[in-house]
Amino acid sequence: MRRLAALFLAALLTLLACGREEEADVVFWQFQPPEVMEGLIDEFEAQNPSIKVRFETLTWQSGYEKIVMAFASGEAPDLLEVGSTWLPRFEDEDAVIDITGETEDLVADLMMWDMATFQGGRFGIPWLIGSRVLFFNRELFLGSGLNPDEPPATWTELKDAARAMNRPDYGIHGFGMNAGERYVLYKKFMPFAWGNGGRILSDDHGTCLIDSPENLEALEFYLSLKPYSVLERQDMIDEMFKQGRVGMMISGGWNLKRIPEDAPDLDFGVALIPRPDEDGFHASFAGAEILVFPRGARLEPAMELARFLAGAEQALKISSRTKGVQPASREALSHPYYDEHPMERLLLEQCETSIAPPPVPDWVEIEEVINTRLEECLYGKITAPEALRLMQREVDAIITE
Amino acid sequence: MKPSTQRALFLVPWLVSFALFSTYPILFSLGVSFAEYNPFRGGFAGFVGLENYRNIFSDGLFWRSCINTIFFVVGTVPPTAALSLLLALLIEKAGRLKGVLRTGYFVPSVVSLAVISLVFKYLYSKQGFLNLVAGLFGGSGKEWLLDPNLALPSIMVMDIWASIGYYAIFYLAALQTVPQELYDAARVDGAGRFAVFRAVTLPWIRPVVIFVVVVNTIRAFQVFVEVVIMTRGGPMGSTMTLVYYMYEKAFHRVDIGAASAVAFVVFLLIMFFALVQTRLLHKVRASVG
Repeated sequence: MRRLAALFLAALLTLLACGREEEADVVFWQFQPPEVMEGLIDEFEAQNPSIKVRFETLTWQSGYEKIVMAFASGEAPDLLEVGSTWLPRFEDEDAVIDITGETEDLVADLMMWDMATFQGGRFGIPWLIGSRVLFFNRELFLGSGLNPDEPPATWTELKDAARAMNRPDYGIHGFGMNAGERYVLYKKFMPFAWGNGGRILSDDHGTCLIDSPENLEALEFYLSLKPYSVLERQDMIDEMFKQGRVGMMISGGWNLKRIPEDAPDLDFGVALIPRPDEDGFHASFAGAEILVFPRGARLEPAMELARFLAGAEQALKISSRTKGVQPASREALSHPYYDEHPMERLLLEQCETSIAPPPVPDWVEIEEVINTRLEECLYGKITAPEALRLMQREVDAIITE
Repeated sequence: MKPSTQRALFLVPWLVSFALFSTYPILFSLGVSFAEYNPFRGGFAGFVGLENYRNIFSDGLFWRSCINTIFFVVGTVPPTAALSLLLALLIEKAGRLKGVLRTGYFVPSVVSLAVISLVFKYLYSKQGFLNLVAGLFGGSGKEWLLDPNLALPSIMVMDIWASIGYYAIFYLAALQTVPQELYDAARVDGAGRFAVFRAVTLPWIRPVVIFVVVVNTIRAFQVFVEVVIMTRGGPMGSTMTLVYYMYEKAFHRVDIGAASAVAFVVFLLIMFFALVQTRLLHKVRASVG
């Protein structure tokens, strides 16, 4: 009898819990730490008492799946944070609302609009921007007779530094080179290609330009780092860098938070990704967090929230906490915060010469081709010219489909 | 209430959940596998016949995944079945340590496979424990998960380790049911240890052997978690399995139709292997018995 009563009570509580869900005016799905977001949402609700916000935090591991399923079941939120490489597909499928008319006044205030623009229309608000920079171990630099205050600025200097620090017998490697996973390879190679003037697609996205002398030169240089590198997956390279076993690696801003937490004694620095020589430029891979409005969203209150979040102060609250991203707001560039945080300033500086992958709906397929052929090349199955020829042929097939 | 009505009533909760959460989704995705399904545009966009199947059958990576998966099944199911039986026989003979050993070997089945995969990812890494041990014995150490020839076998070894304790429990339970008289009779007839095992134990526990092999085959065909956590299909597609391929099709390419087609290919493969196994193992039984 007692068990029956307990069961009944449990059922009743479940029903009550279902019924009591608060009605929100804006449902917002995002990827930033919930403790930071909570404060921002409270602030927003205090300023806009008529708008109730409910936010949910997604993870990068499963967020994309959840978003796709939400679109499928017609339960997409009113405001959604997406990674810039996902957006062209959403735009192409008409899954997000064209907000060109509503954002005229924001154009001058924010950077990286390219990533939110598709076939002439604006489909999102750039919120947070990110890039990859060169991380280096200052101690290993000193130990190898290198000057840690003058990190490598050109390809030659990069290779010389990697060679000088590389002592595999002691478990120390000059450079951390990504391998063994298919998703990140192009992010590590393309900076060298872009810095050398190489391209993936033409401006109108109609022609593939991968098989070029510039890209070949970059790929051959990249491969020439292999003898002084450890080949590993990104998480392992990050780990080995923290253990002081990797002299240099190309990685993202999140390390500015994680290295001091996990390896407080590690003396490290950051630098712009080296350019080929005096002629080239310090290119890197650019990504952005874009705020978009899924079809069927309650646009007006969601737009209020998006405008609030994209403001310099609010975006800076997030980036100062996570360090992985910087505000897209131009106003943040001159914020005193960056005077006190030179490493983050460098990340912001790197953003200015970073390049985003071309915004085409088939980017996922193109990326896969580049990654697959790059990996085969790293493993010595095919030569650099072969790799580029194959990429050219396969990407051509995708874009002319 | 009539007993038959009562019985039917007791079945209702299960029937409802089975219809709702199993039958309906299965039929739905069978439909999707013959259709164009675009989640961004409200789902079904018309039937396309065998187009999705044609699409995956013309993809080299699909066949690569097929071969890898079958390699995984063939390489893990027999060793797991044999090793867990051996383990059960040893635990059986362990006397007072029996309880401790039984629990100890079962522990990996309680731990989530995701956690096991993470631990092994570190064990297998360049500076990991495995290479440390290899170094102590003068070995040079290998890049287990980064070498296209070693990555899949490394995952398979982990999988066998993680599952033998679980299947040993089934064998242990079966071993308890072998009547002592049969052992006594065999021994009176002068049978040695191996002869007793072959003529008495094995035939008696054969239904459990069938169960272990079939269940493990079904599970092995669906290998996924290990791949996601340890290699994501790499290096160079060497650990691409069918279910991981399906996942990529569904959630990277957002090609739900093709992904559903893969699901049904996996389903047919599993059914085929399970049927063949049941047949074969029953046949052996008939010839021995």
